[in-house]
Amino acid sequence: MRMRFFATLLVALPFAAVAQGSGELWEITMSMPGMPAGMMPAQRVCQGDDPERAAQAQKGKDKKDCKVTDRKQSGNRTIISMSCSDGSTMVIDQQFNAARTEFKSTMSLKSKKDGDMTMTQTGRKIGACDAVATRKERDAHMDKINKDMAAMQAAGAAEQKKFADRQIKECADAAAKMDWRGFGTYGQCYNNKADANCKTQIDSLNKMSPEIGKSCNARVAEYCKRYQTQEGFLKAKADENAAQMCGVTTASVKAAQCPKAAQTESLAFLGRYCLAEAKPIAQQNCVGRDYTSKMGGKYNDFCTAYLAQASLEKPPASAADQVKQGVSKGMDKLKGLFGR
Amino acid sequence: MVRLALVLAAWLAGGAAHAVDDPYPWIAGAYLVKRDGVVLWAGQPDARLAPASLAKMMTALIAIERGKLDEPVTLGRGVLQATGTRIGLKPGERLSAGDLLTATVVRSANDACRGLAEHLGPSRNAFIVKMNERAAALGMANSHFADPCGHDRPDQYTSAADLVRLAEEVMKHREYMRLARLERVSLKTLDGGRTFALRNTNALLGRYDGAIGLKTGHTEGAGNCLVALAERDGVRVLAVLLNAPNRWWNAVGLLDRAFAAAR
Repeated sequence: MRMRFFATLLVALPFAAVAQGSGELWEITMSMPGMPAGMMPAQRVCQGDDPERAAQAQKGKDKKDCKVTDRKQSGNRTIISMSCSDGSTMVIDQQFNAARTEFKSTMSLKSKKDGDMTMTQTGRKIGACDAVATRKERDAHMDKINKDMAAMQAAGAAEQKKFADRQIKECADAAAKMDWRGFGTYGQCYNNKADANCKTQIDSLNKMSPEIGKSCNARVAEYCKRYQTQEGFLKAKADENAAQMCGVTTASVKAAQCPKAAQTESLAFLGRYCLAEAKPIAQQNCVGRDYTSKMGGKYNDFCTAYLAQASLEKPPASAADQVKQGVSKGMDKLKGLFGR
Repeated sequence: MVRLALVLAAWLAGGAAHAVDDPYPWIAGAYLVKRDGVVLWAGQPDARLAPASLAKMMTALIAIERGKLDEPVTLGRGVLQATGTRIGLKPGERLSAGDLLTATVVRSANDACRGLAEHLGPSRNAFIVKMNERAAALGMANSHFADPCGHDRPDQYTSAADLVRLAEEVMKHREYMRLARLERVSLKTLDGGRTFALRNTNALLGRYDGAIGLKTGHTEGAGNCLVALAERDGVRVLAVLLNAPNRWWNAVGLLDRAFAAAR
């Protein structure tokens, strides 16, 4: 921003200061404290009479936000003080040599927004030029730069919008599919907003687009509400990570939903997550079922889920002992065969 | 005193790092469940137990690593001595080594397995030496093979942890993974005279969402055994069960819980 501002001055100042004679070609070098040498190469500027440019400059003067508050001229030295609408002030001190073939100018800007800056320009006249042709060329060049910059800004904004739209869609999909992983940072940080990493990540996303946070947080809230229903819990496959994201436990959801599922005989939920409540139904409908046997009917899914989950439960003492005894006998047999 | 405390703390920390939950000690003689390479639960993972047909994973690994699966194999009389699951191969029949491998992995066919081992050995005993050499190279410290196809033998044993090593090794091979997930396959003798329609012995395939394989096993001495692999949304769960009377139900329950467990 600063560079652009000074670059404008670089073009405008000698003209404003000289504003006489036609077609003088000046080479101007600019430097700023802290700026490496060569960062701003010398520029050639054609100064001179150009009615159209003069009209533009006058128009600019009428519109500009900065006003000349003081102007002192003494011989070849001119000191101009300016005050701008944003509260900043600027002093331009410009001095030509006697032959008006060289000048040195110092610009000091004091701005609350951008801080204080000083820029030095030196210029030397190096020949004659066609002011009108040069202006046209420069205007065309500036037009191109402005268009390119506008296009770049538009492309950047479009990319940001695309990114935001994609994030918002991913969150919407995650909620619809009950897949907590799709929430990314918003899922990880939903119950962890005070965490420093979360804060940094969320802040940077919000800077890009506050809409992402607004939409994704709403989707996570929607997900968590649904997770605590039978339908949502089933769809999320009782994922422990989702429970953690929502600040609940799978046990608490089961404890809340199993009695309701038993009342309504919600077989899908009962078979998977409510072994105690499901047991009477299983005893009536699942006995003798084999994993590989052809099954069908209302209780098929229920029995498959129930028998798989029940198979991991600790069996009555006698049955458990039988398995262990069988294993132990096998081990003894092997040990005996090895002679140890 | 401080030094002793530090040593003790380091020892406790080391112990904690290696502690693995055993929430289901009653389901099997030994079991181990891994999700995306991390052990979730294990019971008696280093206990030496009979492998049954899970030993065929080693036979398959050696065959795949050797390559030349297009090679024709003329079956010897050994195929008639194979017991248990067979596809009915006859001495003198010719099949490709790859088709014998397919029948070994998909159908757990002992006649195909024996024919393959005798081809690769080039004798059964020579092949067993290769199996044990490969097991040692994989660091399967609690394993010893005495039969290429997993028939009960007095000096044949493995452990759940070793089978995980072996499973992870075969999983590196596309060919094994392709075969392990085939629900059905049809093979022909090289002369086209006989066709074998095979159905995979792994009951999880086609029934359990995301099931990929890997190998089943059963003998009187080993009981029901299973190496189950399933993948959902890019998450892989591997479960090894040795001597598990309810292996299918157990596998489904373990896989479900492993997919849902906290990361």
